[in-house]
Amino acid sequence: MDSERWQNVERLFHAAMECEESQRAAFLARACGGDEALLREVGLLVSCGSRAGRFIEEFAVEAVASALAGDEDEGQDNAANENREGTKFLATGQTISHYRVIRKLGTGGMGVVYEAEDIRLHRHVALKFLPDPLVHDGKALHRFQREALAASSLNHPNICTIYEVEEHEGQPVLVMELLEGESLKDRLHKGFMSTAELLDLGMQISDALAAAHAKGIIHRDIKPANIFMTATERVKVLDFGVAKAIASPQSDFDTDAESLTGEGVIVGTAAYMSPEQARGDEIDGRSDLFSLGVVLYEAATGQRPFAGKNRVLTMNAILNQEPVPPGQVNPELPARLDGIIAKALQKNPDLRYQDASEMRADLERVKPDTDNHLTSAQENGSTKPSPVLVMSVPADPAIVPARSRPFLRMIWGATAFLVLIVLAAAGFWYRYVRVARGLTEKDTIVLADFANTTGDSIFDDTLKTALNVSLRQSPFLNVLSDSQVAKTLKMMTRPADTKLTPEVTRELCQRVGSKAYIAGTIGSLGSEYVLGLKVVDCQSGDTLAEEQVTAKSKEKVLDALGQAASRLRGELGESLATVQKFDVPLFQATTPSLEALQAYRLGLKAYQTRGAAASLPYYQRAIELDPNFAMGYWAVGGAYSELVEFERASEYFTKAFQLKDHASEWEKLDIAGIYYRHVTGELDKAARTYEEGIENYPRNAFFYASLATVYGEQGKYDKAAELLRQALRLAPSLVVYGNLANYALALQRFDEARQIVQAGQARKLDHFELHSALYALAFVGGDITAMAEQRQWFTGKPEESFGLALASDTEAYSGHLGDAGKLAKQAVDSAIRADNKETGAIWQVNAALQQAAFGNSAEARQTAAKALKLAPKSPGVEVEAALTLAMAGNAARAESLAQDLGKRFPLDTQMQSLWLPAIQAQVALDRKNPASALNALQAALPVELGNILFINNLSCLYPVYVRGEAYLGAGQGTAAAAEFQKIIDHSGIVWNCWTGAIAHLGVARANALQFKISQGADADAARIRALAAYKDFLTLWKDADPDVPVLKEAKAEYAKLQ
Amino acid sequence: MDTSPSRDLTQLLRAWGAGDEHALEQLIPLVYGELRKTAKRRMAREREGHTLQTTALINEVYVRLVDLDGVGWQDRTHFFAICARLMRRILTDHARSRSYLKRGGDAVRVTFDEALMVSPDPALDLVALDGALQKLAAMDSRKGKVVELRFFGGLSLEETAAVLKISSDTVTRDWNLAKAWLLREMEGGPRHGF
Repeated sequence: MDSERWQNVERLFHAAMECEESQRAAFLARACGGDEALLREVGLLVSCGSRAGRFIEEFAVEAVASALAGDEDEGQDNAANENREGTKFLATGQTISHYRVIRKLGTGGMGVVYEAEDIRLHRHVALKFLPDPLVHDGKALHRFQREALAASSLNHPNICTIYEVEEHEGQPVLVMELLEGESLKDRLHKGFMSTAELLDLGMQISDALAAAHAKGIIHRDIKPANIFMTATERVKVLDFGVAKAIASPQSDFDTDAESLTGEGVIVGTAAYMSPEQARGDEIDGRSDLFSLGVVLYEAATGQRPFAGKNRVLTMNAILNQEPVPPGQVNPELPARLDGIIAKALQKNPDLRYQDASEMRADLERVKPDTDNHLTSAQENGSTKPSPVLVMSVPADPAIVPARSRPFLRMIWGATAFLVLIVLAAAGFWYRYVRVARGLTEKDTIVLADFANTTGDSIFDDTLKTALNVSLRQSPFLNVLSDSQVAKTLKMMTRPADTKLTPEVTRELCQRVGSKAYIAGTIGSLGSEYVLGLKVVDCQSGDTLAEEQVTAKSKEKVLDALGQAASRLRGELGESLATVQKFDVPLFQATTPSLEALQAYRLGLKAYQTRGAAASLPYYQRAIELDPNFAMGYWAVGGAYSELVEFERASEYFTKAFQLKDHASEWEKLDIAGIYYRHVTGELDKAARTYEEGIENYPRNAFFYASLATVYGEQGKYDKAAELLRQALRLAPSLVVYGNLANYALALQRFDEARQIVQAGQARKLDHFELHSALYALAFVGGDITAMAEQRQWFTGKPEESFGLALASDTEAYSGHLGDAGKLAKQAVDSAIRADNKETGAIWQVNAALQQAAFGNSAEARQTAAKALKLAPKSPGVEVEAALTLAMAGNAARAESLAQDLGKRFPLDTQMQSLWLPAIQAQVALDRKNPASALNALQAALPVELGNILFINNLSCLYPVYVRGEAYLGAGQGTAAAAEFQKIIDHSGIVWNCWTGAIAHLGVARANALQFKISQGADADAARIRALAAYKDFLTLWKDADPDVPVLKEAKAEYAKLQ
Repeated sequence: MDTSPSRDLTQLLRAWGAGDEHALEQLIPLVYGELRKTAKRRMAREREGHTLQTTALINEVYVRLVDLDGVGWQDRTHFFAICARLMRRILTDHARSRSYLKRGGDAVRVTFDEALMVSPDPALDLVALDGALQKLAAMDSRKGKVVELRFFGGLSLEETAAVLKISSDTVTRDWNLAKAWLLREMEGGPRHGF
């Protein structure tokens, strides 16, 4: 084609490709202006261009690498080499030294083999020539000579003999025993061997190996192609070609550091390798015995014990999989032989036969049970008529009577590697320079937005969401969370809805200290879709892994994406085992409806930028589109829960829980954990779920942090703290410093708590929980200035009501009931302003409880009623209201509330074991039945220290307080004092809750009681303790509101005791 | 011994690039020896590592092989071209020997479906591709080079552009057209009179 015409074709091609697909034909018809030939030419090119897709997009080497990897069949390898060496050609009748060439027998990887006659000894021999490339390789030549020397030292009826090494035109020629017969490989193609044949085979090979091993020579490549069966039933082992002299006292074989096979290089055919060989470890004779085990297995069953689609998978099977017992494949196999093979195939060489003669002896022992005609035949000197197969033109070049394979393997091994290296040299020139490996388990990755060139906006965000779900199944990969991405964007002074192009993502990735990002693409190709995933190291820009898949239709896109993601996980270094274990197909793990997924994604986005309320309509739409979309329900539940609409949240969490089998492993655990915690309240089940999460995803902080919260609720603060520390080690950016500080407080480790807060602040965290923890520390340390500072922090923040509530509690703690009430009212109003009625109701009911405890019963009942009105169906409000009413003389109402709660939360751990016992006990006390109260409180003992999540402090320890009162009512002073003291001793849990103050009065009253019922010294001591405690309380309340009933009582009691 | 094998390799690549065919023979054992050492080190490290991470291994070898410091930028792009050529030769030879075995030399044409298949494309016939590429290069040598660098050399768009001293856009356009042309050629579609 002339260049002008070609340029024309080129121009039209590009112009047409830029048109919409549907417009192309029309465009070309117009543009070609009647030139039919041109139209045809360009038209065909355009049609090829529009469907070329992945054609030659994969590097050539990748296509070939798989072919090479698949080259397990030796025959192909050999043939592949055939034309590499065809140059050496000897004519019949030609003489080399004292050998006259008769004919060519075959061509193998190791060169050409000829049958020749030894003119002096008048015997027929085999001559083996090196292939050309080796001749030019000094090292290979050297190895070849070594091989010859090593093998020629072996003189054994079961080993093919090497007579001498000759030289022809500067190249070495091996002169070897000429064998007649067939290789075991060919024999096996004809069908199973009888047990007798099998045993005989095994024994003869064992004999050969025993002889070689005794000389310190390991075969390294025992396989059917290297085992020759002569016409006289003699088994001959060929190819001690890769044999390497091992240090052995009997060996006169000189070994130097650079062995025949090269240090650490994996030689041998993958399927027959021992595990240590596959690993490239040092090997000894026991490796050959493993290979013999594989050979016997194959001979006995017709299949290989370790099989994989390619070399790597085969090696993986050898290293990690247990073969099916041969007896299961071939039930006729004697059990003892089954055992022998199993022993030979032990992965640990120490558990195998330790030497060949040991294995032979075992084979021998099987013998008497079986037909032994073979042995007798042999002993009688081959009486069996058997066709003599001269090895002319063998079907498989590998069975030329020469050590054909090992060098071949090396050469092809070398070439395969060279191919890859040259690829590296060319293609990955600087891309890979700084990358020595893929990801580690400690790295996080960031997902970029998909580049969507399909023109179909449905793919815009959905694919990234789906990819996230898919990758989150992996225990190995840590995907940076959306919230962390949003936070980092903020740091980068970019809007939260910034499109995460590869450039932006890379910057974000660097900033946040992640290792890599994944950039996805989707494009269409007619009705098909092409998806690409590329993992890029964000520091160097190197591509770490890449996957490309096509989907036949829109419906198949998710499926294809999931597959690509799974493969990517493997490429990035995740073990095959976990990739397979956690691989729920994406359409199942999310939803088969792209529309639903899109709505879900929009919901996530709305949630990030505009909050839970804004996200709800999208999530609702998502579950409308796919009523089985587990994560959709889960998200609706989460949004409602954030909007403090717990009942609704529970409904959706329940639905998600019912559908959880439609979710991936990660989501399943997450959904189950949330369900147990927030819907049923079964803390033990939640704990077990999260424990399983940790087991499956040990490198992911999420389940550690979740389990810590559950442990906190169970009152296991030390375990909770340890888990959070583990979580922080895994994800230092985790916002759990507040919780961790709380747990340290709960354990009365105040210095540690302060350090934790500081650590959090050093990480630029400024969460309100850190400030409430600091407030608590200031409170327990009596640092009024610091308390004021921390209270100030809350001003104007969304969590302002929490600060006001803290201040209110502190006033109440000091008996300033009026100020406490005012602050509580402000807290309530602030919470309502922040659209959080339930939190407001909590502050209100807290005030009610204070009023009740301090003796203002009527006021307390009113306040409780207001709180219940503000948030009628909030269990948090209800439990405290019930307790208030029980204290304030309305036991009947308290009881009915408790009954209702009991019915609504039948499984809830804290409800059943903490709140209801406290309420019932308080009701019993109102009815002057302290024994019944004490009985009810038994249930609370295991969890009574547990963290109550809806208040500022960790817990007011109401069950402990009520138990103290019950003991007082029961006249048991000492026991009562111990309960109140427990509250005082847990100041890190109670903080500024009124129970902490009243506990001092409790101790005083308990000792006063003890004084009354004791005598002598005991009574005196109790009186002194009582006086001290009263004094403590009155000091604490020195400027308390004077009209508080409990203060008046305390003063009177104190005066009476003095 | 351990000084810099990469320098040797660099020299050999240079020599081969300059027309010394013997250099190719020497490249093989050299690269192989280096690989062997690296493989051993890696195997020792990954003793418990179960799967062999070929890519990572190549990377490590590569870092040791190529004497980046000793190679100027000009040379580097030159090497890209040489390496791609080397790759093409080795791979095509290998494919040719395989196709003799499997198909008696009768090359199977790549079909549409196969071209769309997920990597690696088992049916991609390198021998046929090599032939088609020769034809393309005869007509438009730059496009031939683009394909050689990208497909056989594994270079990215940008790298290809740097080697050929043309813009990435031009590479993209050349690449798209070359792909279409080669696909058509290999499908054995109707030939035309020009």
